[in-house]
Amino acid sequence: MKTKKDVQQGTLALMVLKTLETLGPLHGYGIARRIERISGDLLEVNQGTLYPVLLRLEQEGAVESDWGPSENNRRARFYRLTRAGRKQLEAEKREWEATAAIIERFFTLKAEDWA
Amino acid sequence: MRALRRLLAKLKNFTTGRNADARLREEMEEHVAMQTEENLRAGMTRDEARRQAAIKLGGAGAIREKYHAEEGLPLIENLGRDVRFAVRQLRRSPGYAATAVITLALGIGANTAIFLLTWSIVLKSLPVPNPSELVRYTFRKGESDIGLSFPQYEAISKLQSTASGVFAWAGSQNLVRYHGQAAKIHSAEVTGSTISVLELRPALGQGFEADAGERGKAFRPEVMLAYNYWRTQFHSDPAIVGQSLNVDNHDLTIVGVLPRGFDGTGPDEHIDILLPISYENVLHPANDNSPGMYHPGMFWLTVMGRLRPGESLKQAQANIDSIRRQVNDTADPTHVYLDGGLFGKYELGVEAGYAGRSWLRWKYEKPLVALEALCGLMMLLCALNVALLIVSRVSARLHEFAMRNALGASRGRLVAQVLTETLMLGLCGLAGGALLGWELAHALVSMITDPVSNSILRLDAGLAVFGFSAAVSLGTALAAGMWPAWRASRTAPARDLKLSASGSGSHRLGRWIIPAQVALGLVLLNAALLMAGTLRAYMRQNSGFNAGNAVLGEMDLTDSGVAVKEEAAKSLEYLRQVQAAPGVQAAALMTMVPISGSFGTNDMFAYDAKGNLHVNKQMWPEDVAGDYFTVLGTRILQGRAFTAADASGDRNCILSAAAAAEFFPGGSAIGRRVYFGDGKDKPKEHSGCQVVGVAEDARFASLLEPAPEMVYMPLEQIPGLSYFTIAVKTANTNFGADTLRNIYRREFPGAPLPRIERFSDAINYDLSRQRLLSSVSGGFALLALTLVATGLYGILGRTVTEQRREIGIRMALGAERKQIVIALLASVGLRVAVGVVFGVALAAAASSLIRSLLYGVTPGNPWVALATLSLLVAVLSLAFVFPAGRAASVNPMEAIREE
Repeated sequence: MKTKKDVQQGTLALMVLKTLETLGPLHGYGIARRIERISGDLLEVNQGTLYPVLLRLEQEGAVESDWGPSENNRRARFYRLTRAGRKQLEAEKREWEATAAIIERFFTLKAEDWA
Repeated sequence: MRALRRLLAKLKNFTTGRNADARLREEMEEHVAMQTEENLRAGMTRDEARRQAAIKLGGAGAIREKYHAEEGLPLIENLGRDVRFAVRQLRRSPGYAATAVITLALGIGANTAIFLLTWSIVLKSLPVPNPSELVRYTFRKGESDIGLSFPQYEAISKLQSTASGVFAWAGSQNLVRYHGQAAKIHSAEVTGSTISVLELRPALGQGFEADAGERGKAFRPEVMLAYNYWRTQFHSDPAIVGQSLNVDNHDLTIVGVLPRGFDGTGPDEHIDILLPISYENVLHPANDNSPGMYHPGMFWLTVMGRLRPGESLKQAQANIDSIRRQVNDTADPTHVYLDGGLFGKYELGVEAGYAGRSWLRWKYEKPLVALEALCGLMMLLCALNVALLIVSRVSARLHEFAMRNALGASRGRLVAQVLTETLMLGLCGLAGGALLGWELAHALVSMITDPVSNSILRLDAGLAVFGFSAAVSLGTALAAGMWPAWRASRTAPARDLKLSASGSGSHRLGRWIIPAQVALGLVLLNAALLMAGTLRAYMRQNSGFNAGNAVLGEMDLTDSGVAVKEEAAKSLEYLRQVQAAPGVQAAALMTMVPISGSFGTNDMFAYDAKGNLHVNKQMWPEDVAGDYFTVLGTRILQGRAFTAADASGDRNCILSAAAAAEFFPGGSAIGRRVYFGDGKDKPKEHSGCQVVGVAEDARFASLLEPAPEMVYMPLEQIPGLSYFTIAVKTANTNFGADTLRNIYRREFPGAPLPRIERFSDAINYDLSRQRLLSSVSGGFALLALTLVATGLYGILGRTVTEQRREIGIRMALGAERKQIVIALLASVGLRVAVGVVFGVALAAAASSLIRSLLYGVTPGNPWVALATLSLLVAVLSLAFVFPAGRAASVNPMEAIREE
């Protein structure tokens, strides 16, 4: 049986940034749904924990936020990626890819390659 | 960069007090609303849709806490909140707060007082630049640390190679006349090098020349003033340099003012003026009565040096080792004083000199170290009791903690809250303890202050002392709070919420706290009893004095207009007046003052009945007039005391028992003669004196030292004596003192009054080290017993409360009250026994620390051990009785019905 995995804070922040880059300005609920859907419901975001992460990103200057009308015309807070956020995403993406590549290589190595 | 930006945002929020709580709430509400709609679309009922949405969002409280933590500076904000909370909690239970604060304050007060003394006496450096470079040259035999002779100083300063300079210093007293007023002031006679070696930058003027006071250099009549003396006596007169000051009727020119703060080479020395050391040669040139300052057998100087850059104390010691022989040969070419006789076993050495030389330090360093150790144990005991208090409080509040944990408070926050509360107690304890310690330290200082020389120790509450107390109190509070805080943080809501308010776990806690307390209490009590035993042994030993309420008056006729030649005659006339005064039972005049540490030695010899020669080079001569033996209560064992007839005619004398036994072994000394000298020359007929009596041995210099061998002679028969001390015995000491003063005023109008001292005070002061130790350790023991008793009482009380139901059940099942009490006693007894075992081991380990401070008792003394145990058991029984009574009076029916 597959179990749902907890999301670590740093990973969650990276997902938030990527979501905002792809979809443009979004409110908290939208971000949560998006992450959930992409992970194929494998990742369970305790959705509330998203908000402290958003605030943190905002304080770091990676995102901006403002009130705006939601789909059903209610007030919601929308988050948008800033230039600094875009740069941060790029940097973290590269780092993530480098890490993933190394791990990948470890897993593809066969016993004779260790010699 | 990012971290910085984040910190700035946090700081801004923190300082502007911005709170985005409303924003978060709105966002979360919106979030739940959207999710609810989605769930509705998925076909849930409205209630179910909303419930699932809320579950998916997670605990609102925890999110808000986390959000808020991201937003501002939670550490500081929480601290403020915790402090407010702690204050509120403590105010709600003043009994608990007061008990904890008093316990801490007492422990900290004791620690502060002892450390204040240790700091001021042992640790504090001289107020001069780079004190760590200073070294002190010593002339020691074991504990005894006497001064150096002037020739030794000269030889060292010439031969040593590790110090850039060496100086000699001797404390003294002088009579100064200024503006027509005469005053006795404290002074030091020094070599000119003192100024440069100590790097004293005069506040005014130049000070002495570098070679001032050295032998062969003409005496220049100069004087320097201490800063404080200049400020108080001369109102900081800036034109003082060049003016003249009359010292002992010599006009000296003021050449400078010492730097502010420096007034001596030890914490108990406070000089007013500084004189070139050759002034001593002007005041007391070598003659028949005085050996003079250059005599190789006069050990009177503090000698210190400053190491050259790069030189260490070790190198200085190696240097002294290599030149010791040469120094001895140079300083004492005759080899009479340094290689034999009274000082033959003394050895030259060098020690760290940062603290200078102080008699107080010499006397109290060891006791203070021992007391510091006891202080540490004491503090441990206080910490245990406070921990016990906090634990009981925490377990009483476990319910509350569990509730808060369930509501989203993290373990860290719970720990922080308990510790904050403890720290608040620590701070209050610190405040109380600092005040208490300051007062206590002053009381102790008055106990160790010499009532005669008045060399007051100035306590210095420096940063070090405050830092020490703060560290001790906060450290204790933290240590005491650690376990309870951990316990609070381990709260398991599911279990503890169901718990009734009675709490749990005191009996488990008692398993290690009772033995620890008993062990510490035992060590402290044992130390106190050993110290008390020591004091008692000194007081009850046969000292050779039984002076009751005798009063001594040290007379100084230097400034009375009485010529030195007439001093003896005038003093004898004074004695006769005192003897004739109403109410006087007996009075006597003497040259050496008993129990004052003063001493002198003579070579004497005698031939016993068989004609064998016996020589003693360490006979103490005491010249007396009047009823000396009656006043001081020294018994005459054989023959008779002096009478008026002994003042003239053939010279008679009285020997101490030990001297009589040495000179005339196996026979009576009465009627035989003793002679002055080393026995190498045949005595002349009628020289020496005839023994008319044998007196019991008396511990003349100090009750702490063995009785010297003495020879008493009528002072009328010794020409050229001066400086007498009168002793008088009356019904009460005040009357005796008044009598002495009144007649003195009549006999010597205008002269400064004699220094009056009760004999009992002299003995108290002589034993001040032992009194300090026994009173302080006694205080510790008292406090320790109280703490141990209250600790046990508290634990037992709570155990009985907690086990009420269990006791009730056992009684209902047929247990008798007696059995209940026995069971309780057994569990306590076992722990006490464990504590006693550990205590005995600890006391044995600590015994080496105090062994050298004991007299008449040893650490393993069975009586002391018995007394310690019975006192401890008595106090513990007292603490046991009430809880046991409560356990026995449990009504089974009521106890079982309760829940």
